[in-house]
Amino acid sequence: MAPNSIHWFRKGLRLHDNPALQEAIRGAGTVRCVYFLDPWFAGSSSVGVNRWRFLLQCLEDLDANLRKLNSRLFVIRGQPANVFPRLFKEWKISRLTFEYDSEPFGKERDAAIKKLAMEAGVEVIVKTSHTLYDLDKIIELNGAQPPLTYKRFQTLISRLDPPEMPVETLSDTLMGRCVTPISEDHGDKYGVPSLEELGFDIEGLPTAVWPGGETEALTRIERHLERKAWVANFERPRMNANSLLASPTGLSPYLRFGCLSCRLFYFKLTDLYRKVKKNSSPPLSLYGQLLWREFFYTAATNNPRFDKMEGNPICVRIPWDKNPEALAKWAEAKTGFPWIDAIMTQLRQEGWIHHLARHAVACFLTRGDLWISWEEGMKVFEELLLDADWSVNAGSWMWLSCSSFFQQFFHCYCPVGFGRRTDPNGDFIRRYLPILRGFPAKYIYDPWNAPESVQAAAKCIIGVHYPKPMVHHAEASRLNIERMKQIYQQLSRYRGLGLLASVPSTNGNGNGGMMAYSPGEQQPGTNNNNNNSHLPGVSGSSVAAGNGSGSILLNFDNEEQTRPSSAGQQQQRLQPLPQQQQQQQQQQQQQHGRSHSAGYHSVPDTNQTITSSRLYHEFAVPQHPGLLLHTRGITGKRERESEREGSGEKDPTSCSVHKMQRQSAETT
Amino acid sequence: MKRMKGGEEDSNSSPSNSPSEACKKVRKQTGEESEAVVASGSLDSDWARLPQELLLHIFQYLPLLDRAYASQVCRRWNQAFHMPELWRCFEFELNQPASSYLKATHPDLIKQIIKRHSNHLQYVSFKVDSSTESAEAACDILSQLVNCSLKTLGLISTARPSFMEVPKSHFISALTVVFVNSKSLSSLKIDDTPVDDPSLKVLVANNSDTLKLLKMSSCPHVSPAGILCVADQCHGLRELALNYHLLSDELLLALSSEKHVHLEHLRIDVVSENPGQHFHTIKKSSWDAMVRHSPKFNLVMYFFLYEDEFGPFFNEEIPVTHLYFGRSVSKEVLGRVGLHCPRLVELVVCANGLRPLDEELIRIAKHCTQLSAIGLGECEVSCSAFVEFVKMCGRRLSQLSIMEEVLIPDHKYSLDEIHWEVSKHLGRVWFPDMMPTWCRFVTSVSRRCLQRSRQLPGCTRKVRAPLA
Repeated sequence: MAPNSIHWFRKGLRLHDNPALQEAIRGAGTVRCVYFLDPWFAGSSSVGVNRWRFLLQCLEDLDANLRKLNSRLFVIRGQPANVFPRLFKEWKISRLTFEYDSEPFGKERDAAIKKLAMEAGVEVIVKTSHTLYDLDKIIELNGAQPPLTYKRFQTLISRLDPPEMPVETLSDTLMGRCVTPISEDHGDKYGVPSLEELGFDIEGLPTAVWPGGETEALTRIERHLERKAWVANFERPRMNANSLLASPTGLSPYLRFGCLSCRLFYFKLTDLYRKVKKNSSPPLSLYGQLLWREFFYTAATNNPRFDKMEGNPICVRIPWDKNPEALAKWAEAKTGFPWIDAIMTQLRQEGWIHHLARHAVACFLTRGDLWISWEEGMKVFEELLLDADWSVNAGSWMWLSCSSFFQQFFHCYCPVGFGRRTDPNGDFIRRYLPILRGFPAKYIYDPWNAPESVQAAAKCIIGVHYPKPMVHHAEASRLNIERMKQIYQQLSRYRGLGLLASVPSTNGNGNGGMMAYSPGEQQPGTNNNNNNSHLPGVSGSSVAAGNGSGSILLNFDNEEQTRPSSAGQQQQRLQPLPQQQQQQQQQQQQQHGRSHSAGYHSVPDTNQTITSSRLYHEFAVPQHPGLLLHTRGITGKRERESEREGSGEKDPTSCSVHKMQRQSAETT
Repeated sequence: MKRMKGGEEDSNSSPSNSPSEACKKVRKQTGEESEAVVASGSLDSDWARLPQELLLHIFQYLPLLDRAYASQVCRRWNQAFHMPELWRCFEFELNQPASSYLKATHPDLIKQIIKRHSNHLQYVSFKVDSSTESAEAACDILSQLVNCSLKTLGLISTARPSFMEVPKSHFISALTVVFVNSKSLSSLKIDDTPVDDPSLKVLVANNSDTLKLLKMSSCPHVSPAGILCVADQCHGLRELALNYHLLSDELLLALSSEKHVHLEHLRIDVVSENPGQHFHTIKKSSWDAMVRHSPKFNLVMYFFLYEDEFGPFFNEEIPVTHLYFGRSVSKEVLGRVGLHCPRLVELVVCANGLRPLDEELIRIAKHCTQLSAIGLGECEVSCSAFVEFVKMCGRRLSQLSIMEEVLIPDHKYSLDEIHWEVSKHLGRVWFPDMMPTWCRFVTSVSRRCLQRSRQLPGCTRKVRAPLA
């Protein structure tokens, strides 16, 4: 008997280039395409209405396209782990296919489902098509560690074979004799729900700027390429006032939901380049956008705490301020900086903002002005941003807040000047903040500086109709740049006056890709043997070994982690001393001659173990971060899950079921 | 020094164990041994007989927490835990759960330190989160440090400048307790605090012979006269950080007096309080005196000004070594930097207008012969001018951090070629800094980009006809 298949859609909401879906059909008697959605979770999830709408539109489009092949989409209300066993039985399933999910949390969910399927005697076929490459291969090529700089990543990529070609789009021919049994009441039972059904209030909801679905995605990619062909410009497009607005050729949300195959995009770009540039082979930079995405997926795939500062081995600990009021002002577009507020308004209304606009608001929230944790900003983006993917979102936030990837931190976007340079006339601001419409271009980026007469003429008094700026930018940047410098100086053990030399990777020759990412670090709390940073000779040599390598970051981590790991409850009673760190650093400097200090070095009292000159510089280094560690093998992805674990869930399987529930509730 | 060498050997001999693990093992072993010993009739284990010196040596490499555990092993170890040598340096972390992600030093520990170890403290810092509560707690501790003699003191706000929220009188009285009791304070970091002139006088009266470092950026209650008094009296001062409004010709002359040791590091923050603010100028003769007196001193200047506030700066030669422009700075000012900063070592420009900085960079390469580090953010430079700049500076450019967007391709170099060309001149592999594009899959016909190709002489980038 020909097998009966289920294809399980999560991301990859498309019929083109969908290898797992093809596997479902190959030689099968029946196929059913399912999508799991838990209406009871929808309203409470952290995902905003724009993202839900986009998803539902994708599903509707999928259903419509399947109908053309005499098939339908089955939207299953419930949780995969609960429902699959019943479906297997009811539909006499012998094959389950789905697209590979590289994110730690998805891997865990899929492993559980695989187990379920195997128990039910169902064959499981998984295919990679959300990323261009097999991420594990990249990691393997890098010595079992994910590359931590984009440059290194590019080097690795260039050594790999090009991505596989997209597979054929699902068609009647491909379907062959494979059919989808559809019941009379399919619509009632398995139809795509509406936003109201999910509990969203859609009154006054403006029409979507970004309509979801594969059909739209394919239209857009053609338009996108036509435009590129017309400009014949394959370089990075420069930013201007127009590029701030949603474009009918924008593709990022479609790639996020997999309405568009990244491989299709990749090969269309290649073809176009060859055509225009007369067969010269395309440079890697042509695929920049796709490769950045791939880079963050690679960095995140084995790091379940990629979206956290605590316990995340690649994240620099920065003593961010906790300030819910300031955070709310930022998220609700009430900072008093029109440039920032206009961007945040656009984000909330439309679900998309230009990547440089993302840089601007992210910098403002974190290292630039408010000094608030990137995790908070990431959560807001997760709610509002259509293309926010767990890996890419967290990775970008770490990048922009200079929390990882050995980023130069000197460059802060000015919340006044950056916008003015991009859109001197201020049309973007007038569009999203109509209250400021009356201000002349001269003052529209800093309306608080406008004379009263100008404010009166604009019918907008600053402090009454529009808020005053919430921070003094010059003062805030002075403080923040100093703090970043000190944090980075501790990382790089650099003691000089230079700002640029404080970043570890720039001490070397720019190929800081050799960065260590200790495998032991992946389970914080397993007090592994590498944690010997308190023994200066040992950790010192690892610093010396790498040319400005990431082992610096690693040591930094270890310093923080050794202490609490064995401590249990009592850890809160005492705090570590900075002393041994200083000694350690001092010795490292002596041993390896890394002390390029131009600073004051003479030692007042040579009998002191600690020279005062060291202390000067140690003053403002980041402290041992909160010693809380949820260390017990947490692999879950969101906060609530960790709480669950912390609260001592008895049965490990019920735990992962919980996680699965959350996951699918959050639309992937 | 001896101690340190020992430390290395120590660590080399047991490279695989973390201290905490080692500690646990020790505890376990001692437990086992003492059982054995008990069996043989003696209560003393070998571990407890470890010489105090050795214990101290080992303890120095243990984090406080592990030392605390070790102190519970036996009486001798407990004594070792309280040895003064282990309490010379302490960092108080004062954080509130509501305002910080970081844990705070436990109040019981603070009490114990004040009670048993305050006379041992020499190097003390306070790290304080954004809450006023924490800053006040820091002041409370300071006020209790009556019987200690500090060598260094640092008050560090890790988030917002919270010391500024503490009532000034409270802060001043706490600080002066330290000044009066510590007669040999050598370094003091009190940025962003309400320190004032009278309290600096107390500092000078008690610590003028020993003070070597003073960092007090953004202390609004100090006047130029207040800082001048410090410079006049503290002849050993080698590092000083302050805001521009405290900098005066008199101050520079005082620092370059014969009695004064060589200054090593002067850090000036130039911050605009309100737009259109007027800044005073410093005479070239004062800077000259400074350089004559301390030929090797580093002058680090951080600018956070609006473009139109730069009028008083860089009109004459200035011995600045490290320059940081935190906001947009005009081409014109950078042109003046190229002319008047012969000692420049590092230049960082966060932003600039829309016109390329070609001539300015070339001029800087020509005149700033010490320049070894440069960072460019939102600026524009044509690729050929940039290559020329790198060629002129050559291998002395040890830090070259240029955002990819900064480089404008022209007739000579494309973006793909430039890193080879630059690497060649630097003698090492170099790449521009890249920012993630974050899924920006939008192609825009950039007007600016087209305009630019028209502006640049000889630029061949042209708009092609649409594909047939």
